[in-house]
Amino acid sequence: MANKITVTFGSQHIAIPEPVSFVFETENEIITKVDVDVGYVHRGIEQAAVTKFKYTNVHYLLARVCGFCSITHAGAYVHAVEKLIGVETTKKIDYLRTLVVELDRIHSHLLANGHVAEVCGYENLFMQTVKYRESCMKLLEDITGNRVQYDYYTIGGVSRDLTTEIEKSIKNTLNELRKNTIKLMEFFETDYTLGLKTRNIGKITTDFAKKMNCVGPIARASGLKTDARAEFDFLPYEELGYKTQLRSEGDVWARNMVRFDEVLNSIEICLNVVDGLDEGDVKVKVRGKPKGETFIRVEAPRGECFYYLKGNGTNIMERVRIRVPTYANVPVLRELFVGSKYSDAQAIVLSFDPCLSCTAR
Amino acid sequence: MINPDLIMKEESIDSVKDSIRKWYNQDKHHYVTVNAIDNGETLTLDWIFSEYETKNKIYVFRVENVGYNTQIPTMTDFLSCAWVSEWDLADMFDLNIENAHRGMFLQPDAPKAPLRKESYSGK
Repeated sequence: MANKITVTFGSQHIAIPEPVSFVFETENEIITKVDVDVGYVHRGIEQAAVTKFKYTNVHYLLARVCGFCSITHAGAYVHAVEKLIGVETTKKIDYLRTLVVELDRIHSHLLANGHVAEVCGYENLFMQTVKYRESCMKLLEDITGNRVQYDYYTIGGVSRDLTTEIEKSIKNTLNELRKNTIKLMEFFETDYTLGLKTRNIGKITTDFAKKMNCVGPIARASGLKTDARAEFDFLPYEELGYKTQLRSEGDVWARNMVRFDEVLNSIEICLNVVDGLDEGDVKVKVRGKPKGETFIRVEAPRGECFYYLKGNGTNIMERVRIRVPTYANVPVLRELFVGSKYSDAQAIVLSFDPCLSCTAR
Repeated sequence: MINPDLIMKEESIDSVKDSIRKWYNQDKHHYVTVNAIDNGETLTLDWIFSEYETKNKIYVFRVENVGYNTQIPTMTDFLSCAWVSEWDLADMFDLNIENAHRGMFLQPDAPKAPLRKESYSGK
């Protein structure tokens, strides 16, 4: 006879430092039904963006949508406003923006993979990953002045230039980080026990990824070739050596490996930025107020982040709509649980690198 | 500066579901979200898509002048992931979307329909 148990996962759970609640109905520890609630941290950011802030300050608010991809939110908004006002930025500004966006991706991906290792029982591997990630956080602090909320994007430019010392430090740190990332990859690739916890677990086929409109590393780990960096010209990725990273296995392991692949590609992009930087100013003049509407896609560490902006020619925006990557991946996550063992739920959730702070906004 | 290649299709609330269903190709089109813009007394609804491996393409199915109480069709019969964006709009604008559950994005004690203009403009 089936042993039916209902198990709640969250809203406070040791595996996820963010409030999300899954209610699993299980039969003999196999999940048969899932209910999800993500709305514990709704902060009214979309409303605040059109009521409490001038358009020149909204990106500082939007950076607070998320700690990990703060640069993506600020960036998406700034790109959209620049489109509405008609601002053309210089190559140097685009390169500096790309640098910080990609460094942000590196530290976010390393933490995500470390978290998966941790819930699989590898605490030391988590600590090792976070130690390597710290070098990237230090770089971000040196470049932007902040560790988390960089506030680096400004309308028409970036907040500060690189010094020669920082350029040197970027090269040294990233070359070292590349070696360490390859070490971590080898461990994920070859460790037998970690393989038992991650391979063939939470598998998404390419067709299912398309059906559920997955985004980001979740889609690419399932062989679905989609990345806003390739599909939308928000920064000069092609000339900086961007390559779409794909895996076909679609399981927890593949999602980790795609992130490692992307870390290596992002390191290459950052080094190309430093080598290709021009002399010149880091800001251009901005005149006018946003009028009209625009649709923007950018690639956050967790996947495609979409912004809709409508301006009415005043200092206050008419509408700011944010569609974040975790929000887009919640439907597939819910489907994926069904048929999985309850004991795999943590690794599956963490392999999605979920951000509920983004989702609830 | 980004220049999205925007393809906007004007629809009515009665025709939008069929139009999207006929046009949508799972292998080619990527569903981004459904968006609402409050114009004061009516809404504009946009169903937004992009295209895989194609630069800068954005497709928008737009329905203007949607009343707050109008029944809005769900796309979940052929876009099974659309429920999350539909439930979001149902919470944020207090809209009548077919089969949408309330309370996933807003807790029961949260202010109702925070993105309706009347909830923050004092009108």
